[in-house]
Amino acid sequence: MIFNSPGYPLRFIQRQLCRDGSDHLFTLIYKFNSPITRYAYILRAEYHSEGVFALKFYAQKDSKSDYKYSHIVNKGDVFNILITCLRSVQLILKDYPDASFGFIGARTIDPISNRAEDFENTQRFRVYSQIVEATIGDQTFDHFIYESVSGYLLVNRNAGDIDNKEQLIRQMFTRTYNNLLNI
Amino acid sequence: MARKVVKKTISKGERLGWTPLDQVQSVTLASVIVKGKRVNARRRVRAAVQVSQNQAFFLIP
Repeated sequence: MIFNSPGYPLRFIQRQLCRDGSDHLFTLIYKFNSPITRYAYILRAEYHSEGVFALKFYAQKDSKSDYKYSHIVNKGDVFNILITCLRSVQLILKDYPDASFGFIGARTIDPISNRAEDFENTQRFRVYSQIVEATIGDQTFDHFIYESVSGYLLVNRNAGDIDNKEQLIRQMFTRTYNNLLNI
Repeated sequence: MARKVVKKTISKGERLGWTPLDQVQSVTLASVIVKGKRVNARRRVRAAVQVSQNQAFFLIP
């Protein structure tokens, strides 16, 4: 499978502080458009303590929906959209060269039968993992997967003790997202 | 005249046995065993070789 889609330009929108007292400190918000789907997409890079960004994206038209991360748009252009999201890592590393990055493959909701996919090894996780492994090398990051929660973590090698950093990040996310798997 | 066959389309969620939305339970991350597994270097090399054959590139080295 070819993963050399060029992606689209990312436009920085704003830096939004988070004051809920959690480990989530601020969010960088970006926007991009797909001429194929004709939708605008919002990408959120949520910065947490331990120097890790959680990457999330959704179609702007779904921004008010509780299921925005679970909705299948089904208009195609998947690889350009995902490569655009990964390009945010390049951008963010310029200002945060020691940053690590993580993401979850959200559960899919079938609107016809009103059913939700299991949270382990989701279809999104399987697709995202394959693309990340093929487009991000192992010089800058060490790669970790968490199939039980469909999670992927890129630990920055500038962190020094990678295993310790991975453990700290994992503990921080467990503390912060204690209700992650509820749709 | 041949009997008309009515095919019932089964949606993906039904076919794969997904959970009905009203039965989805709240699960805390702390209650799930979250164990990281380093992505196998061989798997990454395989993916990179496949990519290089198609003249693609690493976004980030």
